[in-house]
Amino acid sequence: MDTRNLPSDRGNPDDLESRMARLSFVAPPPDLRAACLSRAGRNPAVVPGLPLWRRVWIEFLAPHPIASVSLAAAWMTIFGLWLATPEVGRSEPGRYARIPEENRRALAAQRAELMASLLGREPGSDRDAESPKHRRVPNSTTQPPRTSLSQTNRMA
Amino acid sequence: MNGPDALEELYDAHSGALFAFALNLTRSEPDARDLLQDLFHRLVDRPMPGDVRDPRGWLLRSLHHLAVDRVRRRDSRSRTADRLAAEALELFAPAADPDEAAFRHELAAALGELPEDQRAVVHLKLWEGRTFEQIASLLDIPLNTAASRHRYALEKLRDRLRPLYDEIR
Repeated sequence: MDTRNLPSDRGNPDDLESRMARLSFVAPPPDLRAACLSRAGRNPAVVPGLPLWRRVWIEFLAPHPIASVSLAAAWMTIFGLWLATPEVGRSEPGRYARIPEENRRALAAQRAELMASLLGREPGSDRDAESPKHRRVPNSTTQPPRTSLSQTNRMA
Repeated sequence: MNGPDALEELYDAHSGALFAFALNLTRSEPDARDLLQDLFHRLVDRPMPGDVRDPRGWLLRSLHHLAVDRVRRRDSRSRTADRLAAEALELFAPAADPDEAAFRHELAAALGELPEDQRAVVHLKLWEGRTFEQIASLLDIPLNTAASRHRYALEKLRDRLRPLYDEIR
């Protein structure tokens, strides 16, 4: 860069210019500092004791309103669908509580009768039939029944 | 330059100079406040690069850009900037001596009569001690333009202030 024709910074300032240069400006208002640094203060690191929900709101939700509203709408839709859809596996104890007592007894008697007939016993001895010591234990030493598949394999 | 601590250090080190520059450019204390606030709020989102060797120069340059944008926006809506510039403003610290106070008051008024681009150059030269090369870089103008603006501005200030200065010195 050719500096021969550059304006000089070392011009001889006159006393008026020197006097002007010595003047000091008004100081910034004291409250301006807090106003200028207020957004830096939004950082949770400099605001101890800020609740978690407030930090999440300040740091993530408030700066991105469209994303926040979309997220809220998605969750509202999910919740609405959950409410509107009947849950298949949901337990309904009230439904069983409405069964009359005599019906329950009749059902229990029928069940006991069915069990007894399956085990070949009298209906009155169903308690013995259900006890573990009378339960038929499969013999592990007995041969498994022949199947058509095993015969086929032997033939093979 | 990241984090609130760094921002506080920047503010404490340079707010006086930045506020003076903003006040001289805008000729309005509320506007100067807004500019400084805007500058530091932007620094939260976009911090000063770490390789900046002259933080004050970088801040002055950013502030000038914000001021120019603000004046342009305001000019599109209304022409109040000229009126504000002509108003006498308490630009300098108050002085106990009446002659000195009168001189400061006149100088503030005279600066308000300068075009904004000349005022920016004069401010950076007189009160920031910047070279013409630095001023040209800060204001994105050619070097000779910076020098000529300074010369024109000083001539006007001398014409305006010389009678008072000769009287009180």
